[in-house]
Amino acid sequence: MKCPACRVSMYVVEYRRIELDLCAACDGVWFDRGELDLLLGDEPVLAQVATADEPTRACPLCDRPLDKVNIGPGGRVLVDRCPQGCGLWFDRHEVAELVADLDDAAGGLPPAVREFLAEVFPAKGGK
Amino acid sequence: MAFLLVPVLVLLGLAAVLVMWGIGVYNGLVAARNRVKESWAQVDVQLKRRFDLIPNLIETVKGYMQHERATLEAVTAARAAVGGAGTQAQRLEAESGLTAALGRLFAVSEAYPDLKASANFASLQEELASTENKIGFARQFYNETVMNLNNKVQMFPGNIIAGMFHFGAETFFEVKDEAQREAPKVSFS
Amino acid sequence: MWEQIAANRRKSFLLVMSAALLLGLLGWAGGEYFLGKGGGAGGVLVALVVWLVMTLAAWFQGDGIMLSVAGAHRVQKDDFPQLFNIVEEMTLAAGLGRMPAVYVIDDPAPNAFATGRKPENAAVAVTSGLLRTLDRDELQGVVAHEMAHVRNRDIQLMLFAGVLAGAIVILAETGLRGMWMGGGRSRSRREGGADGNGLAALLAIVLMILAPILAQLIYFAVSRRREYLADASAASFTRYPEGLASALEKISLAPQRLGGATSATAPMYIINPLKRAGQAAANATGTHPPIDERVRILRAMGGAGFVDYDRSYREVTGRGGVVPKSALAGDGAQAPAARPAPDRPAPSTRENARQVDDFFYRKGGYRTVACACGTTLRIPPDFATPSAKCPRCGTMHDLR
Repeated sequence: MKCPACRVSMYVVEYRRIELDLCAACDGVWFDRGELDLLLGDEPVLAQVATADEPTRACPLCDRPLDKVNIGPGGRVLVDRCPQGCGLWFDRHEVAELVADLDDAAGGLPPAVREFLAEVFPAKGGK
Repeated sequence: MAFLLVPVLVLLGLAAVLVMWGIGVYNGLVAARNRVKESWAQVDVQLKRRFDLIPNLIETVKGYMQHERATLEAVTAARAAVGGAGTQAQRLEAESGLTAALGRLFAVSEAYPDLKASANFASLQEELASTENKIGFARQFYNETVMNLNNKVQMFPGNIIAGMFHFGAETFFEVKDEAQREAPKVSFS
Repeated sequence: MWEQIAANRRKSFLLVMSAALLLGLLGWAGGEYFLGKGGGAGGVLVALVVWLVMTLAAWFQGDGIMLSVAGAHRVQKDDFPQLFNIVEEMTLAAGLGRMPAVYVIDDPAPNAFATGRKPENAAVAVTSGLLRTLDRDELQGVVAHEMAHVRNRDIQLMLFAGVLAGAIVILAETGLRGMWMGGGRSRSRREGGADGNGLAALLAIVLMILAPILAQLIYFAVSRRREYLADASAASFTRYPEGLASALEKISLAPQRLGGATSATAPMYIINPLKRAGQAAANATGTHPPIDERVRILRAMGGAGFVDYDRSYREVTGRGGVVPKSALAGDGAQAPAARPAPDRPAPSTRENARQVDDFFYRKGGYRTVACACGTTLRIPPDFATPSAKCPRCGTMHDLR
């Protein structure tokens, strides 16, 4: 699978049977729909559609332009979501930002997801 | 002479049609009987496969299920009964008993999380559950072929040809106990 | 059941004959038009040659082409033990002498198809999306449906029907294009334009417009009927209509579209891969009946025999029966009781998902790097960077 931002092949990281696609060039992360389902179960991801001046990217699976959505408590983190439901794209730092937000305010995402994200993406300031 | 020719030809024609019909029915009976044989061979293959899988299962389970000695011994005894069965009727009886004993073993295994987490047990469980399914499906098909043969043997006018060439009805492979009719309740999770 | 297969053979034969007649008529009219009076025989010859070449190509290459167009990989029992077991189970239930080859397609859209000219060389293909989405009972329902296509000789029938319809479409289109460019008229004028030729011309035009439509309608009608029959057979094989019903529901709700499917191969799949979920498909040009209708019929069956399916079909659709009389009278029809719903927890599909991943990472030439912190990194063969970082512990893994 190619990175939606830099178009190079991404590598796969598997932890606790959840697989994520990472880009070595830009440190972005792709969450497949299937992986999200494994994480979330039936709970929907809280997200609101937003507009932003970030460049529009194409879904690595279905090639449709990705929507910009705000997620997490307060909707502070802006990520890209496939309109077809193929998955979510986090630019560099965005996962860490989400984890930090989730540390500040409880709720928003199910505990299992928060725990998993915090495990795999420990917040590293400035990195 | 010409006036005799027509009825003679008609009679010859009728006889030819009758013989052709007889050959058709006979061939149909042979085909049906062969299908019964083939489908029984399939049931037999699966029953043997189950028989061979059991020692492996007992070996895997033994360490985890020390408190279920009786259940394990019941499976071993049921397997021995299958091995020692003389007639076909005894064999089918014993196979039913083995199905029931295995069902109980898998039911109690639910209470052993360590066992269920073992990869070896998981794959054995899929194999045995699938073999159990295969026995069921092969039996289902065997019974269909038996029904097909029996209909041909017993229904008029085919029964005339069947009687002439000594085709007999076959027996169904039924599981008597209603509770054993379904495959044992095995969790695939 | 044997009677049903025999009935199918008769039907295939009738269908091939009627479509062949249509093809011959088209060839004759085209010949009369383009080659002048008396050219009908030449036209028929051209039509037959086109059909023969296409049939031979489909007969000897059809399944191979279909499997390679779909990007299917042959798999073994060690790769997908459960899938293999299920195919074996359904081979027994269908009473097929030999187990079909099993293929997996790396595609997130859940779907499946069967191919092969004869039950002896049949193949069943499922997508990785199907393995990730369905539990064991559902997978069994889908495999049973495909096995029914194999057992009922549907693949053969659809291959012939498809090639005939294709030949008719190609000939009619070529003919119409020729007429548009005035190919026939100048010649008929040269020969004096006999009255018979005028009639032939009219017939040719009418045939060239109607024949392709007619051919496709025959094809679609046959295809839809085969789908209902395969559903009925699947229920009787598994004795568990709910498995297939729930699988169809899940498949139809999936958002992904299948990659390697074309309109020619569409009727082979368990659901039409070209139609999006929710789109109405209940018209004369659909290869598949609407899914919600198929699901409702399966759920209203009660028993698991052909008789149950036929009754349920009548009740749900309000149309006449769909199962041939011969099959209703046959032994498979003896309304066997459906298996009760299993009282075990919904089985997890995670094990299958893991097998899918392992298989395709291996196939794709991925390198596996285990990180000391417990994560596993999988590196694609065309990875551009010389090292990869584990996000969890920050270790850089050298890939050179």
